Amino acid sequence: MVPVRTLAIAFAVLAVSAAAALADDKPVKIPLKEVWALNMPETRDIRQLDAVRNDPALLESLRRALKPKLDAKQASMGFVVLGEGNDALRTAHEVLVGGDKPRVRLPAGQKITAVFFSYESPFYVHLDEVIRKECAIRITYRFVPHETKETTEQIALIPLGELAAGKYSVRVELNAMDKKYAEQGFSTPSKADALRIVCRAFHFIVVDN
Amino acid sequence: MKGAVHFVVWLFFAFVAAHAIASQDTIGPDGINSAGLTLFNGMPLNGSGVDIGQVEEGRPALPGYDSPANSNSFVQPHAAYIQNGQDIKPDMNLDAGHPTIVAGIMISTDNHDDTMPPNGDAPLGIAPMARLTSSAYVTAGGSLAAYRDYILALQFIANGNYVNQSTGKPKLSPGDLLDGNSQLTLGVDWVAQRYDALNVVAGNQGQPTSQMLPLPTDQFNGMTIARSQKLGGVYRQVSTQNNYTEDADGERTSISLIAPGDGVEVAGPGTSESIVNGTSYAAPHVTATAALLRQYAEERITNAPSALWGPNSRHHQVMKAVLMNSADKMKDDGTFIPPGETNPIPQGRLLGMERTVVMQDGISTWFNSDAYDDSIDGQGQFFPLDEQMGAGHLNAHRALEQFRPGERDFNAGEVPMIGWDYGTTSGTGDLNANRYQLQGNLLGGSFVSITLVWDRQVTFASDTVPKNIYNSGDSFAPYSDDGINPPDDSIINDLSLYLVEKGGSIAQAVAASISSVGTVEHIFFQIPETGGYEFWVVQEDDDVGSTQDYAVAWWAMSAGPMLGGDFNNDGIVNAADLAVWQSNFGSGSAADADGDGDTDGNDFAIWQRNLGMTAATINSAAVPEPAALLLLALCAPLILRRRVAVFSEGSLTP
Repeated sequence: MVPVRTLAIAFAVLAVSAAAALADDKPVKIPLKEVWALNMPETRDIRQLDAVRNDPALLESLRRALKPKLDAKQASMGFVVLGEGNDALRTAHEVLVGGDKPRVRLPAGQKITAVFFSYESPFYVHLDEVIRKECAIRITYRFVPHETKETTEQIALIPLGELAAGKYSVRVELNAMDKKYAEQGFSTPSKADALRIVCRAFHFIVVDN
Repeated sequence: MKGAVHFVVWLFFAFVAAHAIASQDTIGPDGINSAGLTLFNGMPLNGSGVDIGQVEEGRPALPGYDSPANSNSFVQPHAAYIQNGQDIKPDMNLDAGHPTIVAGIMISTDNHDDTMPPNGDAPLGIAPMARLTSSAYVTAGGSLAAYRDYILALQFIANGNYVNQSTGKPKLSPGDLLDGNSQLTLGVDWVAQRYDALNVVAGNQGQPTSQMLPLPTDQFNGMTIARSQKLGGVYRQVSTQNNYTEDADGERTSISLIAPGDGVEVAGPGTSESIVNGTSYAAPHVTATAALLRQYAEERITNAPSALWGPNSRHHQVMKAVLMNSADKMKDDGTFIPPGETNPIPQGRLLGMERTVVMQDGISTWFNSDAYDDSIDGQGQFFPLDEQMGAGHLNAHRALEQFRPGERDFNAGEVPMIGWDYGTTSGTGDLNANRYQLQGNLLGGSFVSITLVWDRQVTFASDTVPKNIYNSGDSFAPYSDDGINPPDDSIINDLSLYLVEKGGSIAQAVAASISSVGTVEHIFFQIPETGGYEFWVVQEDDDVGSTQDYAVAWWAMSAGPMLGGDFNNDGIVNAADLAVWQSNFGSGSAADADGDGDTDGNDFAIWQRNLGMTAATINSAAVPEPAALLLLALCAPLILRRRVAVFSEGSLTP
């Protein structure tokens, strides 16, 4: 006979495991207030990172690197880097400015940051939300028009935290422009426009050490 | 004593200015070259006493009124309003700092490079002492109400003003033509003619064709500005971010000039400095340069009123003609080889231009433009301006050279090689042409530049009381557009420019600009043979009046006399020539300015008289560059010492 107490413990363990499994299945929303970004509302101002405060040229050169080529039909892919905040920015700089190849394989048990960016354009590109469900990550954004004759580029460092081993896909999706802008006569950018301006979807793999 | 004090004050300003501006990115020699310009009396040109305006969706922050986080203590607008004079409220209508940044390019007094990388690029404004008044419109987007509010805001500050508009509006319908017929563009052009305002509007940019703000870039009476980017450290390439898919419809082109708009270091809200991109930041370079010229004119009008300096110098058409005619196209350094040629154009033949401007492809120049070849057999005579660069790159230094000779009326006799005029045609036809005879001969192989501008006429379709003022509910009369090659010339008096050998007729013209779709004509032409020339302003039709006011600016190179004092033959009289004179004094003829076979005090006197002049300015009655005066002042002890030493030998008399 199995003691009742043992059964109870086993049941409890199973229940917790099931709950954990269910929890893993639930989408996790990454709050925008945890995202370091340039020119995006509700995020943390990337200019407040020590790496930028101590070396403003770091960000400026990165911005300059986000100048689209005249005949480019599509933007580069987004990517991930190890670390968060200052470390993530420096590594992103090495990729976008230095030309380093972004890592596709990253070790489990270390913090990972997704780098989202848009090239210089007459739109603001604002993050709407970032959601992760298991190995699928979805980044949604929208274009915001402005009547000023300036062009802006955006970059966002999205902390994904420590990820379990697996093959991850990151989708980048465009949400519709606010209705009020359409009412004011602004046209929604085409998908071709979006493809040229905003970084594209990408994949990466997290492996156990 | 008063003069001495004056000189000391000037010297102080010159020293401070030189230190404040020496490394400026967009206002130094690699930018628009506005730094260090001076008034006739040698005092710095800084916009003092000049009113300029700013219209966009927001208004710049006012230090002491708006919060420190939003304002910048170095950017002090004179006043800010909402719409047509409504009061502002603290920290409202600031539009994310954009208007403050735009204002800073014009009037920032920040000459410190504190927060940016230590590259010395302090965000000092072009006209830091100008009085900037801003008027923000209140309705966003593209609608008749939004257009109305834009015009109301503009009208409120337009009177006699140069107004920067780093903003734009969508069309009412995507299918609308950019033919100047929208109520907004009609209104902006009406304001220009009614209030004699120079509207400086930022051009279109950015890759997505779906997000253009094309109105009122299709204006006729103001200036539309595209942006330049650096090439080899110099702002001289048409930015790849300009977008010409929404240029004016038909053969007319929208762009007047290009100016720095890429990687512009600016003073932003709070204590921030940042680097920004956009035609938003190109336009204020032009507006503020106009303010510098206005300051120059006001000083002359006050202290030396004459036929050369009067109210005509304030007209928006004059500013437009001067700024466009003095734009850089090809660097005058003896290295530029035209396409298909093997030899470079000799130095001094390109009117002292300071950079070679290339198109978006990084290679093509004015010589590859539709606008090139204004010869009487060339296609360029039908296309006054280039679609990408307009007349070329803004150059404030050359604009002042262009402006400084003052107004030169063709009725007053021959005109100098450099000048401008505000005139009126006296009717149609060749016989009524206004003929400007250039003094002396033009040098064969050199270039001549002539720019003619005038206004289109805009009238009300509905004009409520008070009349002749734009009121809410008023509307402007569009013209009937056949849509084939808009606009047809029924909305303008068509003017043309001809370059003719002296005493010749239009039938014998060697070059022309005869476009019929706009209100600008521009000749940039290589003189085939040394000789006398004149240019004609001809009214071709009288669709909107029997006469037409216009402004014309010209710049040519004389074949003679030789530039006395230019001992090293580099086209400018400067310290290098003094060195030649010193080394040859009393012992040779290498610095023989008066042609008597020796190098003596008389030759020095000629050098002294022409100090600061260039080959192009020798006949323009221009005054020496104040910088040259400073040079003279600094060199004086050396010169005197040298002369005393030589004279003490008893070989010459002073």
